Amino acid sequence: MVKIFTLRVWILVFFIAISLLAIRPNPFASGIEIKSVSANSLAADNGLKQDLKIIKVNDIDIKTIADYNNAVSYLNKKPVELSIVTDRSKLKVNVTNKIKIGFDENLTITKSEIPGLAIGDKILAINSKDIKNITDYIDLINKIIPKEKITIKTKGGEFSYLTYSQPEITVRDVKKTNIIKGLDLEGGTRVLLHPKEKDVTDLTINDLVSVLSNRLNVYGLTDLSIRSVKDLSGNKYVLVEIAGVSSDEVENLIAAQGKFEAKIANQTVFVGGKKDLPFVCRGDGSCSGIRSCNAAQGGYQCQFEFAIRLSSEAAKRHAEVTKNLQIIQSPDGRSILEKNIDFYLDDQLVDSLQIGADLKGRETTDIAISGPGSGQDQKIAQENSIKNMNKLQTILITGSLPVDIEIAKLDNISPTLGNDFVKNTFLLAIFALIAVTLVVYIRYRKSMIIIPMMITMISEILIIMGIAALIKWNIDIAAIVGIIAAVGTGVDDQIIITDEVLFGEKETVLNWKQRIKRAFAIIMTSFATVFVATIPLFWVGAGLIRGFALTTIIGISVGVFITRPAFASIVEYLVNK
Amino acid sequence: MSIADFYINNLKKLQLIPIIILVISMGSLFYAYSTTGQFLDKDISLKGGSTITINTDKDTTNIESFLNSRFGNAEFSVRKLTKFGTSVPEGVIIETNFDKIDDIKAALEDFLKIKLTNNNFSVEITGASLGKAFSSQIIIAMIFAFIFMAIVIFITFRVFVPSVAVIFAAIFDMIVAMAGMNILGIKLSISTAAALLLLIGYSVDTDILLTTKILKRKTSGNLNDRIFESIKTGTTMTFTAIAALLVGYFLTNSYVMKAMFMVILMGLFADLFSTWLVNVYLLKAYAEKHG
Repeated sequence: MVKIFTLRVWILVFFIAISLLAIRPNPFASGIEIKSVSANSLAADNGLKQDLKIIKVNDIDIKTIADYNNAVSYLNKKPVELSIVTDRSKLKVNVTNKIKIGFDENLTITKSEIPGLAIGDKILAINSKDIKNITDYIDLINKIIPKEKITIKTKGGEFSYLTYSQPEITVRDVKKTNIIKGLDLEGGTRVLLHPKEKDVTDLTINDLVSVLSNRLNVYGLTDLSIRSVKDLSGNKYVLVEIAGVSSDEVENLIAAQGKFEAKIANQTVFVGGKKDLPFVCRGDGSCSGIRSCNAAQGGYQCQFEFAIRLSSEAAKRHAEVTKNLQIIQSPDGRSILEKNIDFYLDDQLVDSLQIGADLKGRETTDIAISGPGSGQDQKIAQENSIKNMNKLQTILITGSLPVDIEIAKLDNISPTLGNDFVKNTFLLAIFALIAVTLVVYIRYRKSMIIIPMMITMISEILIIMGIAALIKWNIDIAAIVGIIAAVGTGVDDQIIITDEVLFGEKETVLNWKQRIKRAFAIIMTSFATVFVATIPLFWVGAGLIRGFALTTIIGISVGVFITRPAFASIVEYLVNK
Repeated sequence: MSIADFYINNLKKLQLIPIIILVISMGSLFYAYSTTGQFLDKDISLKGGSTITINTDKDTTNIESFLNSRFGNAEFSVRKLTKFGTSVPEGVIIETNFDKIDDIKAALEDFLKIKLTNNNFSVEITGASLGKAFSSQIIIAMIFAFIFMAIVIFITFRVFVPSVAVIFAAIFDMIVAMAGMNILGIKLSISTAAALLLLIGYSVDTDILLTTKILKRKTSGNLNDRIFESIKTGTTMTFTAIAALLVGYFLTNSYVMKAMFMVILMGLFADLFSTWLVNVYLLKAYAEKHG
């Protein structure tokens, strides 16, 4: 008596169950969840975290991304015009959130991101109200541009805080499965980096990966994957994939080696990185911002400035180098040292600053770094300065890359393509299954063959997806083709088994077991050839089609070791019945 | 006389068909080589340059001549995307060696009168040296794949002529598929190269079936019966694959997949000849001689 639930069928059932658990299909899931939270933001400080499902914003139910955007749109405020009077100028500025200036107790400006408000100016009045002290200032500003309260109710609790701007988070529709879509389906930026030097060790590549990921994290990009890849000739690459970000910010940030040096009289005083610079001011208007903006040839040029703290060794070096410098008079009559401090980024001079005479030979730890940004008009010049400043701050915090690198490939993929593609692939899979079934039916005209064959194909797709979800492997276009290829060879094998079992009848000497064994002799050989032919693909194209190679190999292995034995078992049962 | 009899009695004459196919294919490849210096035209991912994809329902008909006139010394090749089965425009794919993407983007915004954002504009840029590295990788991978495959085949069958026949069939399929790519203008890329490698797998499937039946099943039925059994099984295998790939080819909205499916389709078509004409002929002769 032949049973249908043989051990081989149970193994298949087991793997399907595991796969379903891994994929966790949840087609009825709805709502949105947090995709990423910007580092060092108000949202992060107030405890918002990735993957939290958002239920309500300010008592408004949130079902879709559009709901969310509407609910937080009140935080997109219209700019308010402020007329500011200082002891040296009068000006009007438009602001939407806090005024990006810093000042001391006398209301003398110490930092400013507002063009026209220069350091050293003293604020006298805002919107015709006299400002006598800091309290006056804060009261008035809070009245003119009040902070708004936002309450976000999530599955993980309620978060409520005061803010000027929309939460610094990105949201997505709640995941309906655990399958991770690849970059070409989800949209985003992919950069393939190649060290300019030859013979780079694995250790250096690992360092490169860690500095880069640190750098991107400091910059505020969290949803990213960085890994090193090697190709068949031993070339080493670093592959960076960031979901949902445009390429130019990334390009700017990672293409630079970021070798920062501050030199006085050609001697290096300090370099970027934690060792020399334990503290770099970033994202804090009181110690970083735009210092001044001026009309320059054909446009505007702005200067940014931010504070850093030197380690004691670096401060000692500063004292050592400045000790022997002469004190001279600057053109505007100040006492300065004869040599400037020069800031170099990747061997390019960024800025050169005079050193006050009082710093001569001193182990000073607090220093300001500055640099320019230019543009056609003041606004663009200012934006560019802020961009340059962010980049320089990031580089100073994370240090330089261990090797100089070049961008070998830069892809920026829109998410629209992927959305259509996924729908399209489902349709395609269904029709391809129907086509295969039709050909098989024409050949055998027996539903007892077709049903197990379809079950096998579908369970193969399920198990491959399940394994991908389990090992957190991205499903991209290449992987989908791999799945199609694997299922295709699977069908071939099933046809071989069917023919051996059904039409091997002339050889009555053989029993079912022997026939299936013979079928497997053929199947195993073709499995082995596909397997070995696919292996080299792992290293081709700097790993860009690794998804294809891996899914093909997983697919054919699942086929040969799990689904095919079960199929043989089922066919054996049906034929004997 | 039945088709089967005709087939089995005229196997030698029928060799003319695969020979003609092979000659035409090789001719096409060598012609390409003599005119362009390479057997297959490489795509941007292998020679360096940029691929721009725009999703838009705007008419993109004159985009190529527009770009050529705007950027005189650059090369542009444009492929229109349409919704399946209609002529409704869905977008456009532009390949170029011009590296000022921002300029192209601005010009296209001008021309199409739409704003190009992250949501409708994709760009993939490959450096020339990386393209070169990728090309050589592909060739190395193909050589390795063939060597590994040959080793498996030799270990399995342990006889020279039949093993060479299997390997020859794979080469034949690949050459025909490559010639087809040439004629249809499908460029060699990382993905079409992967398709060519996949072809090895699909191609040897049927050959292994045939060789096993002829060489290892001498006790069951006479030689011709075993050949016909193999043909029945093998063509069912090939036709299911062709059916699925045809459906895929016509339904997919991804050019990458379309190209891959087409390459495998052409290879499978070639496989019908290489296996059921050439290989049957060689193996039959071998089996009769070594009885």
